Amino acid sequence: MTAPLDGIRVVDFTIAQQGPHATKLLADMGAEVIKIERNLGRMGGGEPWMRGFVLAHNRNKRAIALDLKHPEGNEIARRLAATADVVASNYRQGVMEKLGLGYDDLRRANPRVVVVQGSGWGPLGPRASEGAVDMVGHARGGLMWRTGFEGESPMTVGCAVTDQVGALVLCSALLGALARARRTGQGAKVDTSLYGGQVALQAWEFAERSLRGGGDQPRAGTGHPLINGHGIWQAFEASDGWLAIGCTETGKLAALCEVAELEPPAAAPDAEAIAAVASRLAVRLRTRTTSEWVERLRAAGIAAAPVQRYGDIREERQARANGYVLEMDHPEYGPITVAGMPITFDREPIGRATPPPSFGEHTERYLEELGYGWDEITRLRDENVC
Amino acid sequence: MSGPLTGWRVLDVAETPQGLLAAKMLAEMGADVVKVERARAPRRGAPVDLGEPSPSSWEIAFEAGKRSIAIEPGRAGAAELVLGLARRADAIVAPLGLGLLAELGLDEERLRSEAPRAVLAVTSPHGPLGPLAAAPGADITAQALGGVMWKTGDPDDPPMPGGVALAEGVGALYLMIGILAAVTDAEGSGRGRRVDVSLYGSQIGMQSWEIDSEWLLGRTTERLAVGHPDVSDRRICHAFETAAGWLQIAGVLRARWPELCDMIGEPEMSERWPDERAQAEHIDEIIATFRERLRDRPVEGWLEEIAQRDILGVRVQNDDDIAADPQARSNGYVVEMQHPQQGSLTVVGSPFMFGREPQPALDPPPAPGADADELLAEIGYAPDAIAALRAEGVIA
Repeated sequence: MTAPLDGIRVVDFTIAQQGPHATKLLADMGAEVIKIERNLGRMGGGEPWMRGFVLAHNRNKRAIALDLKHPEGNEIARRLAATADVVASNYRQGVMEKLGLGYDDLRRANPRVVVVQGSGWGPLGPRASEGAVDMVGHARGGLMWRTGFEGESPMTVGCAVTDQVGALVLCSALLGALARARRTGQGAKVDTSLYGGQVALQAWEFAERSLRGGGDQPRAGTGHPLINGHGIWQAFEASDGWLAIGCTETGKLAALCEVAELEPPAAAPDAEAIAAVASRLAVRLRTRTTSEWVERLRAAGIAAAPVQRYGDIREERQARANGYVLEMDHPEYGPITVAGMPITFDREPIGRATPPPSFGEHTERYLEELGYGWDEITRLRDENVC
Repeated sequence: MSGPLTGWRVLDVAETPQGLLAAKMLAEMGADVVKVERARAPRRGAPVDLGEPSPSSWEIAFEAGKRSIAIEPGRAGAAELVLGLARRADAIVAPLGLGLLAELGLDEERLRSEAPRAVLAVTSPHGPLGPLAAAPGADITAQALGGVMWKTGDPDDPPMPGGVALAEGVGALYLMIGILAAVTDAEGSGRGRRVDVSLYGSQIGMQSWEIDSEWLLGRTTERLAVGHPDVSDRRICHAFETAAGWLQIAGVLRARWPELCDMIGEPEMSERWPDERAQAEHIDEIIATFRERLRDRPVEGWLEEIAQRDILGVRVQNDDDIAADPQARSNGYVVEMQHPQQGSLTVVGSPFMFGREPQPALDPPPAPGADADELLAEIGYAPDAIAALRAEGVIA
């Protein structure tokens, strides 16, 4: 079966994580993603601790090296963009326009093109031109304040969640415009940001604040700011590790207590009664292993799961069955295991796991496609244009 | 420009935030989202009854911008009218097992034959395949399975989730991406695919970098209360308490390091530990010095200095800060929703901007069944047929 984005060409000027992970998802779904790498080199490519970064955001892509500031390199980029369904970037506002690669330039040659621009803070407003990285998006976006305990320090979610959500929002927006371009033949300019993605993630909690008229908002602590006090929603220590339980319906609370051999709470327990159940549970759950409890709780229809580390996920059968974990044969690292693709189409996990291209690996191939002869390609190479 | 999906139709029988939010975000892109729900039943999916006025925060967050028809699934004629809505849909969003659709006797095969163009988007806790396909799950258990809970918090804390329903929200975004890729494909093929995204899978995907790094390098990183485990152990990338408010300083590269040390009145620190290697060796001492120094002034003062010195740093904001932030307002990330009973409500807007115009606020969430007559008329029911459906209790 063909992949859903077979035949879609993406010319990818993005850097860091927000853009490259979005275009990686497109590549996973079958798009031909051509990564334009500036002659400066690849971000973090040389440092060992950044190898995972390159791996996670660039598989299934092609790569060409180009000096975009050189007139001939710039022309190659513009000619390539004229063949694209999507052109993606997340340089600071105005950089693509300065390079002659802005939407108004590109659509003259290619009216169907979708141009997506990722940024830190959005294209409008007083901070439009400011730079950003994951951690400042995390801090301004509200999630850092919501995570953690009342009266204590802000706390970060234990991954680069802002960049990654930024990537998902960017990918969604460009696909919305691409669907339209397919139907109507009209391209579009699309903008998303790290900040917008963070705020969008908190629609429920933010609406609750508005209904309460603002002011202090509860923090999540060991659970969720709006669920704490309404149900059992936290991790507990078992005899050999931790398990998480999510149980909010009163009926299920009784079932939970039955599994744990505890007195059930009153029919409509208040926050105090629920806290009492939680502290009795904390004692009781230490008496058996994580897997014993998880099995019993699931059998009673209660959401329960071990708190896994990445090493556990790697061998976990459910993740393997759905393609959330993949094997990749890497020319340098050999056979390796990588995070897979959370989306399946027609219940078939996406099997595509071509390693990230080496720097400028496909330069010659695309220059040939654009009609450059070998002598010219050699000259451009010698002059460091590509 | 209005949303790019103007003219697209989505049938929403989702029951969890993942599906409901994905459908709402499709409405933000201009799609006509029709929610089919059970008459005389509480709206599915709210994990807790917060006992607030109508609309609840749940409805504002997950049901805004939709139209609603409420049906009694046991009654003759209910399945036929839902099929009528499905036949003209570009996408159907439903839970694994198909929820209300299954109650109507509509299985995947029937939907495929009656509505072959529609993308069938399915939400689940753990994915459609594998030993846990049928196991119960929730946002917090997906955060546990997915590894992010282990990574969040201070090493002395119990494992903790991110402070929002992270698996549901991120799962919604992946689902949307799957739906939009599949509808793009259906424009050419005329065939809607089935798309599956689970809460568990979303958490693994969310940590692609961290997971790939750990598996590739064969080393596990420690949990850090504040910071990123792969960055904050080698440079300043932390939140600091000031005399009033918290300041987050981004990972500062070598070129700006002397400026940063100068700002806190410790210029010799950048000479003593000039590069990342030296900073990594002394990171605890460096952080302690920053903690001490940054307490002297309120966050506003530091933000001014930071701007002048071209260092990346921001205030750690709460919801009130965000609601008042001109940047959030200018880009439509925070908007005013006009509600007939509640008046003007400050709500989260769309993260998508098309054609340099922020998206306007969505319409407030519909009351269950509010759009039944209009929707039935659109799919060819005459007024007397609609009246009969209501008299027979098929629609509310």
